[in-house]
Amino acid sequence: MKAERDQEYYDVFARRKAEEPLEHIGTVGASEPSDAEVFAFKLYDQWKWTEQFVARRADIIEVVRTP
Amino acid sequence: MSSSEADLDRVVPAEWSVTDDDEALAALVNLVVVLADNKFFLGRRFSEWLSGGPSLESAVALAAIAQEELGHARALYPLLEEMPLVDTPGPLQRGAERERKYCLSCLGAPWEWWADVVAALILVDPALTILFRALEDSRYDDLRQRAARVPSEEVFHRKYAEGRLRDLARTEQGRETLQRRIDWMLPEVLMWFGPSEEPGVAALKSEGLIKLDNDEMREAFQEDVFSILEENGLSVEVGELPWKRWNSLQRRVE
Repeated sequence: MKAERDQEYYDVFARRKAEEPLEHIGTVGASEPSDAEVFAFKLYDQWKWTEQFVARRADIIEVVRTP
Repeated sequence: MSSSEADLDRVVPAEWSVTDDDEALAALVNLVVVLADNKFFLGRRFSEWLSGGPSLESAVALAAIAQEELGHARALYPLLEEMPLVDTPGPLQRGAERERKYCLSCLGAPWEWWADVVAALILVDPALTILFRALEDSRYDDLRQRAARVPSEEVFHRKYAEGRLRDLARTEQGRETLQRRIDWMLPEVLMWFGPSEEPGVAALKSEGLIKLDNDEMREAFQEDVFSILEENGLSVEVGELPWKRWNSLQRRVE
């Protein structure tokens, strides 16, 4: 029996200072946005971020992709 | 009795200003060691499952949660040294420093099932948080300051707990396993708040050291966790609580 539901990728973004650009810092696999929030907060704690976001990869609209 | 004899008889020295009520002081020592030991063993039990979590993300998050639980225990133990009593229980570092433990019996030995981790995340951790919240206005500054940092960290513990609960409860087999572990833990967790009108808690409340009595804490806990359990198809029926097996000093079922 799988102990987790199916997961999707979420991209994690953060910035250390308000004047710095938002950086893509990694990904987490999660079954729901709330899990993605917790996993990102606990996994990517290498800095004291001023802002951190997660976005479901499937919701990100691809504008340009160079093969 | 003359005033000098009364002074000699006092357990609480005059210079310790938190309370001059002997019953409240005894209850306060018990409260601190009970909170600290439960946090210690909760962290310890979680730490034993770091390689057993279903995914890298859930294992790493559980490691952080275990570390925070142990941190809460470490923040509380020094308070016991401030207490104006001899022979207060000493701090735990490895878990075997003293024979008498003040934790729930369901935390007393390693768990066999991931469902035990999930049940403790959704029952034991929120129960402890209810008590920390009840200390937010305590007259005992050192305890109030330590208690104040706990609920903010527990917000992420709770989100993690609810996610793991939904993971397990989505299948009949997972739900049945989790229900068995909840049936085991829930009665003891409900009893952990103590019987109605317990003298020690009443003394703490009348001294302004805690803001909720036994029943108010139990009701706050039920209001906090029962709906999420029921939403996931889990029963919270416990029947009559086994108070005859209740150890009021160690706050556990024997």
